[in-house]
Amino acid sequence: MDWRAIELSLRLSTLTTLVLLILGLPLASWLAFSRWRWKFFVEAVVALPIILPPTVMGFYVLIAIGPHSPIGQAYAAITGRGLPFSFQGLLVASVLYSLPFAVQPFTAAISTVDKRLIEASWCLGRGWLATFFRVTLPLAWPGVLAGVVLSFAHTLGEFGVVLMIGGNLSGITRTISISIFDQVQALDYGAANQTSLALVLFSFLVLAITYGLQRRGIALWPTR
Amino acid sequence: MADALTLRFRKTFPKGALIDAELQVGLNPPIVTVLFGPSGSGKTTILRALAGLECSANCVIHFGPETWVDDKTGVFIPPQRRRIGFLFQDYALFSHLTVAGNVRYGLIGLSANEQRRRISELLERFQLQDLSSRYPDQLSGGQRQRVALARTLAPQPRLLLLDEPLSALDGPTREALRGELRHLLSSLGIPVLLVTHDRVEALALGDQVAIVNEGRIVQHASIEEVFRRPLTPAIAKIVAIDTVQRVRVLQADEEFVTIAVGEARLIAAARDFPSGATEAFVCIRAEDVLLLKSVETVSASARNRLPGIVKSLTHEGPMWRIELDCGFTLTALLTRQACEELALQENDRVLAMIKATNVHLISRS
Repeated sequence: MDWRAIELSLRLSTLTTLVLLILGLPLASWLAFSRWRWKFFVEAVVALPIILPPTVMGFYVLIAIGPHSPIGQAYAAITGRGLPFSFQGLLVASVLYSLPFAVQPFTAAISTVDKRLIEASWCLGRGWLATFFRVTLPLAWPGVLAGVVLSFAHTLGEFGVVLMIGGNLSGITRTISISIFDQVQALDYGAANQTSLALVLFSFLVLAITYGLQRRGIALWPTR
Repeated sequence: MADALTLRFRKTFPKGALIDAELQVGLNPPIVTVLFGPSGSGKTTILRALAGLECSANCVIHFGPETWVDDKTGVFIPPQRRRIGFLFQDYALFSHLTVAGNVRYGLIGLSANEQRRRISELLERFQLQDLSSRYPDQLSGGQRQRVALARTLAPQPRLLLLDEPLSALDGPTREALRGELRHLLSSLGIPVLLVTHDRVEALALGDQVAIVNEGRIVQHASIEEVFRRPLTPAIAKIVAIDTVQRVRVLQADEEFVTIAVGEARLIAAARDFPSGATEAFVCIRAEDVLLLKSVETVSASARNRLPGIVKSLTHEGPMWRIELDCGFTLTALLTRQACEELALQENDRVLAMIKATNVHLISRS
């Protein structure tokens, strides 16, 4: 089994999920509460990765972070390296690719929190941030957890975007799915089966634990 | 005015409803002002504007010397910095926090010791000691209301805003808590604004009442004044005055006004009835109408004696509501006992007596 690929995929998924938590929660709060009339444009952009072919998405991200783009040039100027075909580049692409899988459950969960509870918090003297961490998040956590799991699992299984952005560099950009593709290409079905099975089991385990936790959690903290 | 809460709030809502309210409430001595009106009249919106939960491009709010909102200068003090207490209609308790956690929530900037002292003080005051580690969904409606009150009062607000504080309770609990709430509100020593559409609640809880109708405050005075002497027939309807009739003015002097309702004649205390008016509305509260069997001959101080026929009797809690035909429809409210003593039945002939001071006139101008 390609342990380096597995380690890389787990690292990529974990970091992607973390970045999505940090970026996705504020974005989701804004989407849940904003009454801006053009909000639906933002919603559409966030949802775009769901329907775009990974190759299309990967292609544009590659252009956007490439050496000729302002982003790519700025990154190169700061770090002295390029983003494409690096782990960092892969992370950027994964965050964009998994964005809807985090933001949509986050938004749904935050929208279900009774607005009056938030107003009650304000009237009791708590600011936006304190209200978010003390009221909104504790009440929305099952949905937030769902978003975390979905974006983690989605990143773990991504293929097309990785291929476009990262290529196939062992230990840097060769993720599990690329590794499996390699093994199949080399007609090494035994190894491909082993890696695939490991991925299936792992995914199942993560989901089972999550749903189990969520069920216990709901019993512990009735959120209604 | 330095010692008053003043509000001007104008807002048009997308569905066409308009709020155009002006209100001034004295802060010293602190009193309970009831915002009373039918559902959808804009009472809650006015209350939310005071809390800073509702904003408008056309709004000015002053609290004593402080400016909370001023559309001219762009001042808007957020709810967090107004130091007010807001009790939501269904209490809005935090379901993920215990009773103690809910009460603790607004205690900001106190040491752990002070917090503990204040919480136990409040739990004791609202008889919640035994419930302190329960979650809101393990409480009854009355207990939830007490938790919400304790939580609202914990940070020692300077102004208390209550949105239909009793409407989330079932009938018997509501009646039991009405008295308790009145007692609490008068013991707080801070001004209170309370929204309700329940007449009994308004009468029981308020010192002053502001009638809200279609987004406007149409009359603001003492409870007694507004419920006895509404300014317009519309307000008479809102405060549920039972008999409102269009009448002709026959004669008016300094003291009394004689009016004709169909065939019947009535005498009303003149008060400040405009002398030139020829037409008016008469308002008579059912509880101010006394009934006698017409066979009896009596001497009474009431100026108005109207013979009438009982049209219907309806049961209303401990009271009976009796509709009479006195040439116009007059409603009387009698206790069950009085009703039994008179042995009233439909089509009985009775004599209705009304004091001239209880006949309120609204001139039609």
